[in-house]
Amino acid sequence: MAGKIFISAIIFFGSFISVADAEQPAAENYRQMFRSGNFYLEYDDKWGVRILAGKDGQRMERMRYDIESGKMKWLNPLAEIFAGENKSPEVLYRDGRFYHFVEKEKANVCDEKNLQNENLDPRQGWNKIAHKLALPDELAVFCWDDKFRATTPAIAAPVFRESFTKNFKGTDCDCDRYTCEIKTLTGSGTAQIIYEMLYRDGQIFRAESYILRNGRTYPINALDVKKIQPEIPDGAFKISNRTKIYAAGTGDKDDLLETPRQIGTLEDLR
Amino acid sequence: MKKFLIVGALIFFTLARAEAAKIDAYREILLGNSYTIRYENLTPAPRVTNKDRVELYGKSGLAVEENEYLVNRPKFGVITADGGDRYEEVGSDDFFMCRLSRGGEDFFFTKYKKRGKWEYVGERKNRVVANDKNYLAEILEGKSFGDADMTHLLNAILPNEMKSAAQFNYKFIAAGKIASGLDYEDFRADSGGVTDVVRYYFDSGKLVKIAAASYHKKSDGKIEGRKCILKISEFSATPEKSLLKLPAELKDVTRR
Repeated sequence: MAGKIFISAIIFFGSFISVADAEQPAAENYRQMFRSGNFYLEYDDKWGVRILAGKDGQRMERMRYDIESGKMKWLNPLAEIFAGENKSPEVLYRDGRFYHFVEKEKANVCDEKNLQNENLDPRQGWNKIAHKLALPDELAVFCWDDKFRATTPAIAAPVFRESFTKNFKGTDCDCDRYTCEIKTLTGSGTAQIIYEMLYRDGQIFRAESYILRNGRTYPINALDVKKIQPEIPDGAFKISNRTKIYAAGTGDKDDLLETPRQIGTLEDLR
Repeated sequence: MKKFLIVGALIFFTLARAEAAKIDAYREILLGNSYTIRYENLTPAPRVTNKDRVELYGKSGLAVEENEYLVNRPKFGVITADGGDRYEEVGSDDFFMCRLSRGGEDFFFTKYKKRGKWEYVGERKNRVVANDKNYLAEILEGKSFGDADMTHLLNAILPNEMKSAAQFNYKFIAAGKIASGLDYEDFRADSGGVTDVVRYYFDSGKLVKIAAASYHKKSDGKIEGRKCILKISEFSATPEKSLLKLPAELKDVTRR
C-alpha cells in the first residue's frame, strides 16, 4: 500500500513538475513559422516599431514611422519616404540579391556573393544590410540559425530552462526562460544570456534579455511584440515593379562621377 | 630519469614564466582596475569596408575607424580607471571621441578645439545623455581600451579565463633584447585561419612600445595582413581622477 502511494505521489508530482516546466505551446508554432521563412512580425523596441516579414524565400523590413507625432523623424531623414501610404520595404532580400530602397521607387542592389567586396562604398552600409533583415536577438531564440543573423562561437544556442509566472506591470503572465552559455577560452561559462518570453492568453507579447554575470543580472534589451503571424497582412508591404534599380558602386568611374548606373527596374530583375 | 624530466619541466616553465615576467606587472595593473594609460597609435586603422561585418552584439572599443575625421590619422589615447569608473578618449590633434563609464552608464561625447578652446558635444553641444553599458560586448570582446588596436593588444595579456571563446588565445613564444637595448616579449595566437603576433617592448622593465601583426591567407592564396605600432607614454597604477567626471561644460540631461 505504502509503495502504491509512493508511486502515485511520484506520478502526481512528476506530472505537476512537467506541466509547470513545459514550454508554452505557442513556442513550437513560432519555431516552425520562423523556420519556414513565412512570417509577419511587428515589434516595438525603444527605437520605434519595426516590421519584418518573410515569404517564399524573400525577406523584407521597414520601420513604421509615426510622422504625425514627429517621432523618429529626427532619427531617419528617410522617414517621410517610408511612412504613410508608401509601404515600400527599406531592405528586401530576393533571389540572392539585397535591395536597399533609398528613395520612392529607387533602390540600390548588391548580389549576396558580392556583399563583402571591399570596394563597395562603406557609406552605403552594405555591411549592415543582412543584419537589418535578421530576427531580433530575443526572438531568434525560436530560430537561432536564422540565415541573416551574425553568430559567434562564444555564445551557445539557447536552452529552455523553465516556465513560471511573472508579474509585468501589475499583471501576472506566463514566462518561458531560456539561457545561452557564454563560453570562455578555458571552456567554463563566464556568464549567461537570459531570454524571457512573456505570454498573455497563450500569445507572446514581450521578450526581454539579460546578462547574468557573477550572480548579478544586467538588462540588455526588451521589445514588445505587436503582431506575430504566419501570413503577411494585405498592404503591409508595397513593392513597385517600376522601382528603378541601381548597381551598388564598387569604385569604378560611375562611382567617381557619382552617377550610379541603372541596371533596370525591379521587374526586369525578376 | 623521471626525476630529471620533472626537474627539466620545472626549469622550463620557470624560465618561460621568468622570460615573460615583464608583461606580468602590466597584467596585474589591469587586473587591479586602477590605472592610467597614455598611448599613441602610429598606424592608422584601415577604413571600414564591407568585409567588416556588423557585430550583432556591438563593439567594445571606441569606433574611431568609422569616424571619417579620424581615418588615416595617427591617434592619441588616454584610458584611466578607478574601480568601476572608467574614462577613455581617442583622437587626433583637435578632435577626440570620449566615453565616461560610471555606475553602469556610458556617456559618449566628442571634444574638439575651436579657437584654441575645447568644445564638447554629447546629445548636442554641452549636453550629454547616459546610455546603458554594453555588458555583452565587454564579455565577448573584453574591456575597451581606447581604439580597437589597443583594446585588442591589452586584452591579449589578460588571463584566458577572462576571455570569451570569440577572443584570441595568446601563448608566450620568446623573449630577448634588440640591438637598441630594448627588451621584448613575444606572443602568438592562431584562430580561424588568422595568425596574430604581438611584441611588447620594455625599456628597463617599463613598457614603451607594442608592435603587432595579424595576417591570413585569402582564397586566392595571397597573404593579407596588417601591422600596428603603438607608443606607450604612460602605464601607471594611478588613476587620473580629474578625468573620471563629466567636463564642467557638459550637462547630464538623462531622464532616469
